[in-house]
Amino acid sequence: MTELALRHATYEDLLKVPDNLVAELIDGELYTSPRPGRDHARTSSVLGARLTPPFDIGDGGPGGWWIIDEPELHLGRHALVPDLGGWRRERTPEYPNTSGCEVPPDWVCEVQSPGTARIDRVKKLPIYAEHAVQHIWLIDPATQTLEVLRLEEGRWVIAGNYGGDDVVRAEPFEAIELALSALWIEPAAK
Amino acid sequence: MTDLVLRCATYEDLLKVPDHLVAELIDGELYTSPRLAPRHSNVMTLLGSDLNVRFQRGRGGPGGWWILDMLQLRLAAESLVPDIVGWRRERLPNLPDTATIDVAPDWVCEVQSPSTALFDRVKKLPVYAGQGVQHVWLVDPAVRTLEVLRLENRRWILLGNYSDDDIVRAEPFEAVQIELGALWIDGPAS
Repeated sequence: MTELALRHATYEDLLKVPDNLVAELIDGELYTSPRPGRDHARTSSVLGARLTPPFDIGDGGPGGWWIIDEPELHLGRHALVPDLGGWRRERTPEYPNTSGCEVPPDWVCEVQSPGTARIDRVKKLPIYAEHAVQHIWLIDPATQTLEVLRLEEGRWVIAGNYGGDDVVRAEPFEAIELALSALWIEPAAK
Repeated sequence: MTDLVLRCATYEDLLKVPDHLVAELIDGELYTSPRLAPRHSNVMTLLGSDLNVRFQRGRGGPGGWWILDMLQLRLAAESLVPDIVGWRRERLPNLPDTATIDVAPDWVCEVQSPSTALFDRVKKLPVYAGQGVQHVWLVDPAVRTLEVLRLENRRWILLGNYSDDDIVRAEPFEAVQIELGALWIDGPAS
């Protein structure tokens, strides 16, 4: 469960949060979330492992990206920690500063838990739009869904909704086929 | 849980589904869902009646709509039962006497549960887009969120995400304010 820990918080307050919690600062409010549960961890781990070889290392795919787990993003006065972030190297040649990156990523993946869906959709999506993140993936292991959002003229367009055992080519990683069933611990819904 | 019970199904198959299940036919596939849980039913009743009073009866709102619950839509080959539907009266001057309606609604609200989210997003949203439904609201009582989608060029634009006790003006009902906090059975989050 994501909790609002402090209003009128500063980055100094964020630094005091114990390491066993993920801390985020949105609109001056400090939010803390427990480390991911098993469904969440599975999804995030497998997706990172699936995207990193083809898109970061260039093994079995085009490369050209930095794919990073839980980067801390400093976007304006907000500090956000998505589950995965991706930067196109043509735009960000240097490896991003993972503990306070001020260059917005090109792609973000938020793996949702029942306690984080509200924050992810209501609070974070407008911030990512404002900072021109081009694609967001929202993945919910509980419902086995992947929602792909693309930024167009400052607004989120639903580029696709997938789920269960779908095999997808999803922006911006349409160069590979991704079998969603690998992301879920439970058997995939048909 | 929404179950896929039959592929290559027809409308005759749908008619054989027992009354205690909600039956829907999409792309030749027959799906059944249990009747609503109280938390889900509560949102549907409160939101549906609020919008009905203000947009159908015109009390405290402009009127000009039909707002109805749990109607069976027959749109081309598909048969769907959204939780709440609305038609602008200029498009549907009179309600038919038949059990089903074959005019695509202007607005649809799906109240989600973890077991229907995949079905609602992955299967139903593309059907609504294909039939030209202009707005879809997705309400999730478990996490107390409202997501508002608008169709543009046959794609869904994410207009807004709201939660908890937000006071909302959302298309196509932006003429009035809606207090989201009133919809949740256990009140707004603290």
